[in-house]
Amino acid sequence: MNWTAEQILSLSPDASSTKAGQSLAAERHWRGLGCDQRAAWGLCQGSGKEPYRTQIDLSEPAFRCSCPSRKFPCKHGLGLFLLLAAQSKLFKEAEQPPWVGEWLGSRVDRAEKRAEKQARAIEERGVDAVAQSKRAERREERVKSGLQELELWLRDLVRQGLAAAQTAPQQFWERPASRLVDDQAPGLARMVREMAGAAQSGEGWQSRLFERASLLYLLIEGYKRLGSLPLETQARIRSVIGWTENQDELLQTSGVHDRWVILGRRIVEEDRLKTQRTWMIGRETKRPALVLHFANGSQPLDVSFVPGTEFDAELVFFPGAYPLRALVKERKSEAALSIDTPGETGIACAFQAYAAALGQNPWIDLVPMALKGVTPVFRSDDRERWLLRDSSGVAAPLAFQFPGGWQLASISGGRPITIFGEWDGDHLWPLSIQSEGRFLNLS
Amino acid sequence: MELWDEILRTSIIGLERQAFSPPTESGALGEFFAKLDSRDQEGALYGAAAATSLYQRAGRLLLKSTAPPPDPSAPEETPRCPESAALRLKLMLQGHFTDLLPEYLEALSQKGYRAPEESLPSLLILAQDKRELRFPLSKVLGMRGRWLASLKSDWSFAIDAAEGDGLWETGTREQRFALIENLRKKDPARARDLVRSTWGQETPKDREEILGAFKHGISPADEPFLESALDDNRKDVRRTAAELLSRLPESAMCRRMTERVLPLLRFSRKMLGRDKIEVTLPAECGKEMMRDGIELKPPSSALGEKAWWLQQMLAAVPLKVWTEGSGWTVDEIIAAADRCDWKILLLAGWAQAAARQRDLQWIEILLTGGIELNEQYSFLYLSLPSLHQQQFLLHSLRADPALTPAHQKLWLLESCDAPWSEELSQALIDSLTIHARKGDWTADYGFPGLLNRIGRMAHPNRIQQAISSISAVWKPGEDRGAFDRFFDLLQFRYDMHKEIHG
Repeated sequence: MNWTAEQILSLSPDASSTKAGQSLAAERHWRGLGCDQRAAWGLCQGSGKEPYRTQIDLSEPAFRCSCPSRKFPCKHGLGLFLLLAAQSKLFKEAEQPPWVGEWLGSRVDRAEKRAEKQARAIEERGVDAVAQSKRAERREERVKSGLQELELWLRDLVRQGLAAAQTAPQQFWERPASRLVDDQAPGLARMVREMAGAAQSGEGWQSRLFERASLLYLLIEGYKRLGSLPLETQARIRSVIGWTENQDELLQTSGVHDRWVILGRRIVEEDRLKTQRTWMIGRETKRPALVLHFANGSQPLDVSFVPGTEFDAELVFFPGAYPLRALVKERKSEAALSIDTPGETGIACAFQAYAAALGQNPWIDLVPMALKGVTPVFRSDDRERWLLRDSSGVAAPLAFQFPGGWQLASISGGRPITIFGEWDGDHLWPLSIQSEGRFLNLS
Repeated sequence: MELWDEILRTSIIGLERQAFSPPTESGALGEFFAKLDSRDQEGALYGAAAATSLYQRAGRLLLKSTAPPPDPSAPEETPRCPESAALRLKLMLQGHFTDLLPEYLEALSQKGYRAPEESLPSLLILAQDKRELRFPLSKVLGMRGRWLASLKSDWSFAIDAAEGDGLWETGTREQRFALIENLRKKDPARARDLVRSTWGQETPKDREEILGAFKHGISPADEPFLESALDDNRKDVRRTAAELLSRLPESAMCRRMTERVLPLLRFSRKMLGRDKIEVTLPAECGKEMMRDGIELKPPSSALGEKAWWLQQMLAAVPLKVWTEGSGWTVDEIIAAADRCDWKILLLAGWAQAAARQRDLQWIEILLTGGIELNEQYSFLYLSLPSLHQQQFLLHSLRADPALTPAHQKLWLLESCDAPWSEELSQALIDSLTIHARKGDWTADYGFPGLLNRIGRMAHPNRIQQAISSISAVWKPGEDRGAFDRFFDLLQFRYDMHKEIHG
């Protein structure tokens, strides 16, 4: 496919890489430019004696460069890609030099090895079934006792009243949270820490805190009678508490085949852990999916999913009620530009769908929403707070911290457009726009 | 919401102080409440809360937007810029060569494009602080940009002055000054009427500021108003008015000044020996002279009081008085002044007069013959129209293509702000090529700045040639960083123009 410079730059890890990559997208920096169906490559003279060998696997895209940079993709990769997009004539159709062929070969090998390893791991686990079930049993016990303690703490909280909670020291929240981590229930620990955040969230904090506390209580009650619940709800409760699915095993199950359109991407950073949420939707199944990537500190995030593109793939969903999270089991085509995207609805329909999702899974925190026919308007009492309004006057509020309200307004010009974003139950965080036949990535 | 608030209230006060019994409700929620066991107080409270919270979130009443949305923006009349140019703008707004924005916007408007919608808010925010962006931005806003600016008062500067006359009454100081300055450039008479309509109510400081804008589009029609401003009770207003009047050779003030000065200079032709200018200093500085803007105290002790008065008076006398009165050419006058004891006084006064009256003949003769161009006389060079500035620079480059620091040419380069002509750009590129070949430049501290200046100003049509001719002879040395930045800058500008011009 023909990548646009905009899409290429959306892969950039930071602003300085964008800048440097942009500067390197000039012919005078490069020698030995070449390409074929699968890859593009070139030599870039850096400050060292030997030029850097830079190459791109165009099918995903994936990058490799011999420079010492720890950024990914590095500025040379970005520069080469931008040059390819702007002046493809400079790249001669050529035979891959050995250093390109080796890398592409090793990528295929690695993928095969990974599959092998997964299969082996599952086999070994079968052999080790006894020890494993013992481990699982121990964990159940620990979680159970952790939940008992948590329940007492929650009961204390409302006996004494929430008023005291706002001024409670950090330890008040941190102690139960770290106990829950020790008891192997990291999901619950996160919820307790969110309660600490809610207690400090300014006006209306009591309501937000109490809402979270009662959902936590609901979870404890659910776990107590887990056996009596439908299997999907069981799976959901276990995953909220913090049991992780074995991804290798998951990847062995069969998934959903479709053409997946990438609608938006958001990266959030917390305690040096970066989480990248990529939202997609199936063209045929109209099924939304969320693919997560994590990276610690300065580690690079996956860059192979570019908003505004689509690809054929098999996706495996994590089990649970109202499943959203998925793994890409196998890509079956190269990425291609999306001309139009499926799945948009009006605000009223989107809210109904959200209510239905909540009915299946009370602990759901984010759902994707693609709203069509909405006009961004500021609130009459505050021109820096924004709503999306449909033709009947129904409106969905945007998140306070979302910085692009004026940008949305400018793109719409006061006319209805299509906006995709994350809905957290109260506010929408826009991630992409479609207007006048153009797809605009906001992240 | 009431239901939730009731349950919430109990949780805030605490069950130790207030017992909880589930509220009576009808429907599914009521049935659920009925099942709660009130003996387990905390359990019942949490149970009711969880159910109510979910019930309300799922059945969330949709927000109704009460205010009607603003009218949509009018259909565009100009095309959106090409996508590659839109992306470049996005990068520039992220901090990549941001200072090239005026050039970028100017290029868009020359091609008849408008700026891309998604970047308009960032551009408007930037132009709030960077005033130099406002004019070029105003030409590429399109309907969308004007519509957007009409929604936020911080951006009212972007709306045409014609639509913004009301601002003169209601705007902030900043907005009012900007309005009057723009209007003076387009319609000086209307600007003057606007100013007169509120003149009596302005503070002295504002009067001075507003009057300053009259240097744009000044004409004899302004004289009565300026003459009346000579009686203002603030000194700075009077001085500004006098200076403006001295740009109008036919004005009464110029006539008064001419009458005062004529007897003080005598031009005598000698048959043998040289022509001579004899100078008599004025005896006193009366109220009338002070009204016409003459200041009593000299700015430095190097100049006597009376000499200072005469210098100021000369600056306010039409220059043709001297050529017509004496029958001498400008060259002859300057040559004679050069030999006079009062040389500095005469040249300084005439330089000021030439700059104010935009008298090209006098300026050029003064610059080439009379005075040595230094920062003190920068106003003289700057008062030349930009084309003449560049011609002047081009002449001096042709005489000597070397660009050494501390050389006058470097200072002239810094001052040439209008887009450089192709000719001048080429001459500078040739000079750079000579230096790059010799490599004799690396030690000069002013050199990175000079490269930057040339990289920034070189005419777009000459950029490609600049890159190829200079990089062909330049051998990377310790100046590598500066040259890399230079090439990056040129390449960026080249691509920028190519994307816009297709």
